[in-house]
Amino acid sequence: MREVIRSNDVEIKTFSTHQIIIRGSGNSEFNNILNKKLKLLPPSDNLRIVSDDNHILAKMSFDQWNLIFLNDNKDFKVQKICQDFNEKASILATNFSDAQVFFQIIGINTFYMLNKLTHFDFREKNFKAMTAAQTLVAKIDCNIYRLENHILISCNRSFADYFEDRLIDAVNF
Amino acid sequence: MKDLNNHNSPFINFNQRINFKFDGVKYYGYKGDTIASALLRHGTKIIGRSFKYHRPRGIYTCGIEEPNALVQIVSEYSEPNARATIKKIYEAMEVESQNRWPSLDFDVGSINNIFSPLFSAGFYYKTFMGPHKSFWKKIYEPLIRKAAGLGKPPKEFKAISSHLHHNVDIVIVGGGLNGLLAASSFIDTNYDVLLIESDNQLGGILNNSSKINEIDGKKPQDWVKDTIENIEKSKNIKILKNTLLTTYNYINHLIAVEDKYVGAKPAEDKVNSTLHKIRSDHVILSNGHIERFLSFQNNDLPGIMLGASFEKYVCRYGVIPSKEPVIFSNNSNSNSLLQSLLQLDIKPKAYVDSRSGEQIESELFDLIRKNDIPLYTNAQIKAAYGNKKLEKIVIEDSSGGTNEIATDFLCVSGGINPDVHLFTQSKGLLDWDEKDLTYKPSKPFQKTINLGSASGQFNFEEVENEINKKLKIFKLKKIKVEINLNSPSKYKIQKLWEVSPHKPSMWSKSFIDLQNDVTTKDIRQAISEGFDRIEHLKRFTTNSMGTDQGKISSINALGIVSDLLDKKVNEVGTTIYRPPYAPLSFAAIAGRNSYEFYDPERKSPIHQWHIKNGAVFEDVGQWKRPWYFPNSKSESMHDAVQRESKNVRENAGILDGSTLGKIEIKGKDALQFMNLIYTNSFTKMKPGYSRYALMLGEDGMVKDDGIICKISDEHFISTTTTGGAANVLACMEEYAQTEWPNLNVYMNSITEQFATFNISGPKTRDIMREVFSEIDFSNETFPFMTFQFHEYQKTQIRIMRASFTGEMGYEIYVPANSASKIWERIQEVGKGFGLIPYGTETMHLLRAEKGYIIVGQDTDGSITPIDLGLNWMIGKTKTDFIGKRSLTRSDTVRPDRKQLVGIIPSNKEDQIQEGQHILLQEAFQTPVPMLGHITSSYHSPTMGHTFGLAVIKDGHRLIGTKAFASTSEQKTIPIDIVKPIFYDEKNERLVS
Amino acid sequence: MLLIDCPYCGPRDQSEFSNGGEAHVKRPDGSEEISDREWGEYVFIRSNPKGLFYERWVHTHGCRKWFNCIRDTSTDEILEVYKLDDPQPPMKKFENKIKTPSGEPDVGSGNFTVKK
Repeated sequence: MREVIRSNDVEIKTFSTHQIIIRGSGNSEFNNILNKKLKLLPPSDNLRIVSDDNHILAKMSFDQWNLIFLNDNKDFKVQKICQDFNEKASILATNFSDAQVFFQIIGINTFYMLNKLTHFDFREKNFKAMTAAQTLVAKIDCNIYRLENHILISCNRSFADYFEDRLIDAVNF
Repeated sequence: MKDLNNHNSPFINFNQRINFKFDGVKYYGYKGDTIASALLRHGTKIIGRSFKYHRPRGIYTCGIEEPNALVQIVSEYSEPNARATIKKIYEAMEVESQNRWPSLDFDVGSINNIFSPLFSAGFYYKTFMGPHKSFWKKIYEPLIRKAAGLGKPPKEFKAISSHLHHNVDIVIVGGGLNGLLAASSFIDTNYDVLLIESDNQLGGILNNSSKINEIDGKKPQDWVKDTIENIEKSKNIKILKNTLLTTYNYINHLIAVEDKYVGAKPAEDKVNSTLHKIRSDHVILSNGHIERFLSFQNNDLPGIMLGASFEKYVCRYGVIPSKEPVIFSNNSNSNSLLQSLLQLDIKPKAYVDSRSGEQIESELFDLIRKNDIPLYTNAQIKAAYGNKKLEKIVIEDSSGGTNEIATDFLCVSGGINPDVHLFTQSKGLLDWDEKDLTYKPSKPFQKTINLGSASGQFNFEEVENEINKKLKIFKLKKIKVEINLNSPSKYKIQKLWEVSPHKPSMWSKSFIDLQNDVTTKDIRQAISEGFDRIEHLKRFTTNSMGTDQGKISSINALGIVSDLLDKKVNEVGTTIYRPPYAPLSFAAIAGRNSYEFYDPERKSPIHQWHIKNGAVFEDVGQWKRPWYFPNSKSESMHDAVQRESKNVRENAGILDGSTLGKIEIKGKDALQFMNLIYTNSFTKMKPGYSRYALMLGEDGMVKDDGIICKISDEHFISTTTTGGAANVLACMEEYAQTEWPNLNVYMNSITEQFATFNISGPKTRDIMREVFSEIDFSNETFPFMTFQFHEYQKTQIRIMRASFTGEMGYEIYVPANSASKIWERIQEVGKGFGLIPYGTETMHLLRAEKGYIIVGQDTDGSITPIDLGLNWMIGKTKTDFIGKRSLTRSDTVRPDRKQLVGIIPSNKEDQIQEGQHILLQEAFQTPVPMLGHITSSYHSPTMGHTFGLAVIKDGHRLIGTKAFASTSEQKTIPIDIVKPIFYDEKNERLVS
Repeated sequence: MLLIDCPYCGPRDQSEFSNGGEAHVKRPDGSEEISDREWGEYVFIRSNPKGLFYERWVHTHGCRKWFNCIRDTSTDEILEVYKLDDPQPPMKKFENKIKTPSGEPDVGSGNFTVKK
């Protein structure tokens, strides 16, 4: 993790990590693989997150789950999980490990700072802990994961420099 | 000079002097002063010249409604049209008056006043018509542009502004009596509340007048202080001061601008203003009322001011604009003005009331009598006179008798209007109140609640009731408030819009819109000319336009029009109030989305390498792509592209194609889905093979192209154009969800996951063999248009045999994190074989030589695959695909469609220019017959001359004939129309 | 700026969505039996009523899912949002709820007080 900025009661760090985007109907076939491979039960509610020490699994829509690996993993291990999913014709698992960058944001001014860049409603009653959302932040598509004590935002890697600059700007101005 | 200070005002710090300049002259005011209040302290009357007639104008109001006192703030990037009545002064501020030349005192433009018949209603439309058409462009327009407009635009524009979004339950607009009471009732509830106040002080009418003596047994100022304290303690309520709500959109979406530097010079490196974008469940409008003026002859003279504004200057700003003003009113609202003055032992010179003695409130009557103030009842001010400022007034009584009074100040009140601008922006309906003679909110369109005078409720005794009733839906604790008044509780008004339209002299004018110099005569004229609809009348006369939008006068105009037309005001209606409520700067609207953040930038995984190697970049959508790589500072783009192109044909070149869209498609029905999306058929295609494919719209026009890799019948990978990536994915998703939900298929964009390197040229295979030594690149095991997955340095890569240059080549797909490493390895190995990196321009040139189209350059949404000569790409046996049926529509099969051809100049030294017309005759004449145009053109180093691609009507039939191309010099050059392929027609190099 | 209630993500700002035009327009399959007119109407002709309208939207910058709604085109009110596989709700139940915003008089543009 690299520190981006720590100022005005906001601390932002950036990192990249392994990630798999899984598409499918979420039937028992899918649950079985997940359970067998990662010992995780996928969330049934839309936009909910389940996590353990190593993974964040978020249901982004009725046919999409984002599986994020928190600790260092070997490329081949992630690739293997992808392949296991892809053995089923009706599931598409895409290795997304190189496609996105993550920003971890902590601090009491997190939402104030982010609301300079997005209209998204971060109020607890509308965006509870352990839920996720896909929205526009600084005019680009982002995934936002609200964990217990901090939030994670991921965006496509080609925007990484631009997005980092926007975050720094939002903290400073 | 008389001391015009009211030291009782708690809002002005009389111990802190602030120096500023107005038109180069030094003035001072005190901490808390506006430009207007500071100038009034010095007895300054004239502050600007009017828009059309350049008449001297003074300070008419004490707030946002100001029509006249607009100034240029020289010390803030020369910001024009700042209202002197709200802009607070700071040390060393520089202010200039507007609309005057050479000086405020002597203004050449005031001659317009003498020629005023020329400038009557609709003068733009009438006066500048003759004698010849060219007069408008050459004489009138430049003259008008010079004279027109308010203020001068700033020369540079660097103010920093930021945006901030809010999501709340309740927004309270206006922190006056009602706003504070409403906010108090939300204290410590579960509602998120935002209280917005445009002033830097909360309190509104409690600060601005002496109407209220005591509230809950406290002096108004103490009550305000305590109330704010309680509100601030509550965690669910946020107060935004110095914040003006400008816009009320649909679904309670509000826009407000916060001035971060009130009474201070804006710092150049800090945010000067914040644009708040607010989404709320409910909006409470408690934004008060605005006093309106009255029309009489020369009602624009400096020294005439609205009565409530005069009182606000006294109470809120501690300045007494005049110690012996005359008061002229038709309503009870002016009573408190008299109260405020008498409290300071100031006796008005006269009190003129259009109402009869019986109608006037007894309290007022007694007060006037007791203080021995001359009272004129049943009387009106007919005219005001003075040289550049007010000197005397003429009072006319009901019998027609007149009295002249010498005075330098006149306070006018024509009644009060609820400030309904925001309510009507929200699409709420208004209704005319015959008793109070004003439009009041009647039917809200959204979840909007009006409180207090903003709702047309002018009675302080009703405040408690109204709030408890209207906020009932929120199930709050009821409020209790006891208000002890100084002035009568009930609002009473007598109808009066205009006093005697009779014009005593050429110079005299009775204004209805001060900012736009519209007179009541203009209104009459407009109606007599048939512009009797209020919206037409507004455009014809320019009444209630400009920065103030007629806030103090538009209702008066309706009154006058309704009398003239003998219609009820409700039948006349109002013009619609549109956002913004008051002007806001472009800097605020832009926020941080300007300069480097104007548009997001996308960078390829090997962007840094390109920078290090001197690439010149081109914007392709949001992507930064290397355009060309000059080998020295002196190498021109043309030379670089010629060199790069030659090198690819002779040795090898590599292009960063990471920006190309890549989509992974999988599912039980993936094959069927792909057959429906693309024109080609993938059924018989073997796994491991790839195919160039076209995607159409339902209208049969080419929308995108790309290469499709078939991993299995259930699994495909598509590439798309750089610009089309998002659209192609969106199109696939749309059809998968909406048209063919029965198909089991999913797709993910993998554009960002993989970097793509396009390597091609005769030496490519040698380079590839050395870099990927374990892979067999022979034609037999790795033929053209196939792909293979391989492990390379512990990552999985995909190599496809394909080419966009016409030379044999490969596309290498590598995970983005490994991209730099592999790219650099290829460069290292390639050096020995003459490999160079090339940019998009060389790529365009090489593909054009080969006749490969670029969707969006050689096509424009009106070109079918048949027009391109790509009939072979259409899966003949397929029963359906997007756009299939359109390919046999009468319009798509007609013979004279524009079709793709190649062109070369008949004289090889001629330059073919992109975008020029194709002509069949040599003479260049306009209008040019629209036969077609040149879509691409380049100079080919291989051929040694320029060439191009063009779409021409019936082009396929014209191949082999001669034609002409227009040039930018409006000449023509002879060209040969040829097949759109200039290089290796048999594809021998491609498959070698 | 509308607030649109995505059936999957909840209410979000309009800037996250794209409009997909009229809903429930059936796509004829590509067979040649369909006349030029019939196909042309599918490709080019859509209704554009003032008032209630079945409309498609897609949550482009969110879940990327399509859905339908009934929108009153004269007021921009979205009266009902429903998923693609939900049955098409009848318009009837909203017919009495049609509101015209101010600014829609018999004559003139903003003469809304006339209309009552």
